[in-house]
Amino acid sequence: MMPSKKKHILIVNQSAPYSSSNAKESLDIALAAGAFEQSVAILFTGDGCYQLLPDQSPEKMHSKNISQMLKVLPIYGIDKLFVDEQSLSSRNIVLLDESMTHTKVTQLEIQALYQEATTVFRF
Amino acid sequence: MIFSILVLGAPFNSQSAYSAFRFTQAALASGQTIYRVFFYQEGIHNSSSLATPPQDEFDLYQAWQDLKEQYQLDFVTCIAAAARRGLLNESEAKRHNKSASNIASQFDLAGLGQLVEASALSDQVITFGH
Amino acid sequence: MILHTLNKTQSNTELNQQLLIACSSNDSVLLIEDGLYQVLAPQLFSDKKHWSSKTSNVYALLEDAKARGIDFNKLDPQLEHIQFISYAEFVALAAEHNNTVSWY
Repeated sequence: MMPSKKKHILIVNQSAPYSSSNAKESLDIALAAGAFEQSVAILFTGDGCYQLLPDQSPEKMHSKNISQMLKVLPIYGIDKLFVDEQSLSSRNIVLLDESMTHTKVTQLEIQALYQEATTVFRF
Repeated sequence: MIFSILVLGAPFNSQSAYSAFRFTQAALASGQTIYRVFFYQEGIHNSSSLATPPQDEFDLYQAWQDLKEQYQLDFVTCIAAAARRGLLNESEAKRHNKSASNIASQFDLAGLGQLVEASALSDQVITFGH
Repeated sequence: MILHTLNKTQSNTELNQQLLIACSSNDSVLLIEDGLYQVLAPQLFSDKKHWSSKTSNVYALLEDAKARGIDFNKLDPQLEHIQFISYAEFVALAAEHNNTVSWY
């Protein structure tokens, strides 16, 4: 069965890492979609921006390092990472982990991301 | 229209699992196609074979099972999300040396590839979350 | 043309704000579960910073309203445009849109 329209997945990360399973379980979907060569974009918005803070070291609390895992995404062909600039400024986040290629987006650009997607996953 | 449904909530804990059930049921009754119902995060609890609601409460577990049989639906529970949360079928229980299994036979255990496939082959994936 | 489903009250400010940003004028919003409580606060629907300022295509799931004691016959007049629908109509509504995006 061939899909009739070009598919594009938008994954919206709006949860902070470590306190819930959302960041990890969102990432698992991103990796699966990448492995199946789907077109994927990831939007970090709201508290999801905290996933991109530098110098995370959760090892002592027996947790996998979310930011390290995010850096693997380009290997799976996922390089469209977008960050809500309004969420950054309202949270006083000035410095993100620059080893992760990302693009800051405006509210209008965010609206376009939702309109372009054929499936939206939200965590 | 071909829908797939993503269920992220457990029965009783939140209304989302019930809303997902009612939507799925209504879609089928009106002749729409449900390609797959995929259970992820806390949604995996919908596939429990042991959960036992009180007699005077709606049994959503039974309702899902009956719906699956009635329409021959494809129910997939995420294998990793389920194992983490203590739901195993027989082969997983054997594989991990656990003493029992507790997933209803109507639910297949599989990876997220099945969710990705559902999004590729359905017109829409509708999420019920909490 | 997106159908947005919203299942939270206005007290989840971040969620409602994100919906405001994502929503465009061709889109529709369907209130389900706790989202129904928003119709008890008609002042929201004239607030420029509320998602209702983006679209006038607003629907509400009748059963969820009834469960919560919300009588659609007794709503503030400025909410007349809100259509209360059944699950069957929810399905039809989703089928009429290009995509359904859930806010929870």
